[in-house]
Amino acid sequence: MAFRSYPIPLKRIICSPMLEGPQVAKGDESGAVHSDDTPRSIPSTSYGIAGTLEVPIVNLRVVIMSIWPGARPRGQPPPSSGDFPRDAREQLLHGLRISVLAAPVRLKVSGEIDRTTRVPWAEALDGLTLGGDDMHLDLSELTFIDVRGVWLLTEAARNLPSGKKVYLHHSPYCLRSVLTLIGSDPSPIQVEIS
Amino acid sequence: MTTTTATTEADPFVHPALFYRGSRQYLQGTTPFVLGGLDAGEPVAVAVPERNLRLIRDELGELASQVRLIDMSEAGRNPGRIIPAVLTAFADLHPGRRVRIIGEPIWPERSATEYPACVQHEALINLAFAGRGVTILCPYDLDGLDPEVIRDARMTHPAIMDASGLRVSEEYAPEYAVQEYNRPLPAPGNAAEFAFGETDLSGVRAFAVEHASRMGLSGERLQDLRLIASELASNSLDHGGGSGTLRLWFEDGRAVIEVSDAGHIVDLLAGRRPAAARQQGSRGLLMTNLLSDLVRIHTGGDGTTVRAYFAV
Repeated sequence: MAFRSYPIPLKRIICSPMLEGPQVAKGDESGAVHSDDTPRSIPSTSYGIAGTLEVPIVNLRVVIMSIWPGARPRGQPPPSSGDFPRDAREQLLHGLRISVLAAPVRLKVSGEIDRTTRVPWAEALDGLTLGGDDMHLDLSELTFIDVRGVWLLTEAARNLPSGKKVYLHHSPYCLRSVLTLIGSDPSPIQVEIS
Repeated sequence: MTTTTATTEADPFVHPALFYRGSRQYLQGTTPFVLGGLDAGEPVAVAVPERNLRLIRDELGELASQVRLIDMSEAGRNPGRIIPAVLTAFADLHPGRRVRIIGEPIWPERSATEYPACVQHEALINLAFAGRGVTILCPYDLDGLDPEVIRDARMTHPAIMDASGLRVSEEYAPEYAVQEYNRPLPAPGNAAEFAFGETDLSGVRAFAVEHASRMGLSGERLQDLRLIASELASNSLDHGGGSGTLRLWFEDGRAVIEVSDAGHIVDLLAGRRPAAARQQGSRGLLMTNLLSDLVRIHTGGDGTTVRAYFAV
């Protein structure tokens, strides 16, 4: 699987191409292509999870969040098997589903990340950062992420130990476009004529 | 015509307007400025509309390869993104060094809707670069532009250069110029409207996507508009009293999205300062400037209205 690296200091965040086609973020001509020879099949169902809670809310959205002990928020005791962490239960919010899976794909995010769903997203990233290893995120079902949400991702990448990276699998345009703009590239939209 | 500008004044930032008539005066004003920069070892960028870019490039010949050439009609189509994405971006590429830029953000084809944002941009350059070792020369076409535009340029530039030489602008008043063009925005004819509160961000996005796609916006631009709707509405929730009104309409080939709330933007450079990578603060207005084709803002004690235009 080929990865495209974003400019420093986003060099630790590596995006895998989308399954749907060769769509590339505007203005992103940079980056060495890293080859990653580990094929990553992404399971369609979560496994290794400590608990699942489904809450129907208005407009028929279903909130599902699955937590695996490796990603519990900083400072929380490990949940006992099958017991959903109490704090996380209180953070269940509109349309966001975060599943933390076994390696190599560690975190699967479905739904929308915005002001309303920021806290569980931040805490899931925080948990992975604490692990101190490469982070693999399956974003194939991420339908929206706001600027702060992307910024939290860049912070997580910067907080990893030296040499460790964030791998974004199937990241949608809405994430890659913001990543390009809030990254370090000092001239994201300069258009030059040849 | 001389290009030896007064770089020894207290403020290392130098921002003259160049009033020119015709290609010959244009090149007489710009080419020595570029060559002087190269001679002094200063990084040089030329950000002007494409037809003028070709003039300068042809005049420079092989030296053009040492200059960053930027088509301003593309990079600066939205005046609000010129400071963060063109000028500051270029200066930041060369930390600790004086840089020299030709920036031409106003040309005869600029529309009446765009123009107030252009003047505010020119005025805010002075605030954005105060104290910084940057020289920005701004050409103005005396033949193609209205006298009112030239009058405004005297307000937004501390110095004027023309065929008779370089002099101080007596009318220089950048903050007055910003206020002068901080005007109530004309009401749209027929807009779709959505009043939102704390729990409606997802609804804001769905409403924006539904109406903008009906106007013909699709693909990545539709997603850009969705992001801007969400960021502006988030700003209303954070800084605008916790609620706001979203409006969308179609105007002159563009989908227009507007968010109004009870807030007041007091930071004149909001949305024009590139945020440092680790800085947590709001990037909503900056993203609006970077992603849309035009941004108009009216802000005051009675509330704030932000309009972002997306060409369809």
